[in-house]
Amino acid sequence: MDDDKILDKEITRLVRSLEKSIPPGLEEQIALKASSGKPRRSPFFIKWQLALAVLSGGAALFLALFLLWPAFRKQQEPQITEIRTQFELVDKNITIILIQKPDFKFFEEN
Amino acid sequence: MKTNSYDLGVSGSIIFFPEKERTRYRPVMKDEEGTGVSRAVFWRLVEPIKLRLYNFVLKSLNFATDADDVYQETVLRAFQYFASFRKDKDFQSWIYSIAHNEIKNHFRKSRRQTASPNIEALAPSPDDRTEALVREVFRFAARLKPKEREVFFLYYESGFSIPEIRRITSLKEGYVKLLLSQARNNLKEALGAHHG
Repeated sequence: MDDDKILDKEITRLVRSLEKSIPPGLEEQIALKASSGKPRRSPFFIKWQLALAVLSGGAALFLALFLLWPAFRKQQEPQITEIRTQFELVDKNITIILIQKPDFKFFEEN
Repeated sequence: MKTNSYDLGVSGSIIFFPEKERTRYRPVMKDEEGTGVSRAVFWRLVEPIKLRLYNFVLKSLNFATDADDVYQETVLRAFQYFASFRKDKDFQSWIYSIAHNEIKNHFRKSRRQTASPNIEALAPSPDDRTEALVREVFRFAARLKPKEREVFFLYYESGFSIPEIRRITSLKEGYVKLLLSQARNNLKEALGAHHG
């Protein structure tokens, strides 16, 4: 481990011994370009903003649809659930009522 | 979040945020131009690290002439996106990760290795022995793949620790350790031969 540290120090010394200074023209060029350009937000930040806008837009649309759904919903056709047919035999004082239902079954067993 | 509220008795209340919470919402780095970024702060942060950053880019690109462009692009990009730099993060690691991306882009665009360094022309060495060792180190670095060379110079040129290199390059820590260990072993032989 100590050998590694010594070697690391030696490599660092050798690597750093070769150092080049920044060309002055390059620094001026950077400063010039930086002063003309406007600071921007990072693409990551823009992505988040975009994602937030899309999400809130989607949420607003969902809410609007949810609230307006009853107005747009088609009225249901009234369903016939039963048919009643009534006969009256007045002379015999009898009333016969026939009730028809969709789930009516003859000989239904319990 | 614990807040203290005081009833005004009429139509509202004052809410006092604790000090810690208040600082979190403090606007960052507003300057006199109202751009949201303090240019002065940026240049002040760059100043002490720019030489090392430049040399890192230069050496990672094998002293190619494109290194100036890559360095320029790194600084400009950092300047442009400085508004999104979080003050609680380390500026040096942040700008080096931008440099890392720029170097990666450079190799992706060029799709070729840059030329081997002309050490003889670059190195004003104090003595012959040191010059030979420096040459050996840079010859070794030139043979590395771009990604490996970056790790090598992040460690030996810029002085980053292994966890910092992991954060900058998004490489796994074990892989960074392996690369450095391989470099160490290879250089041990090469430097040992020169040491006699």
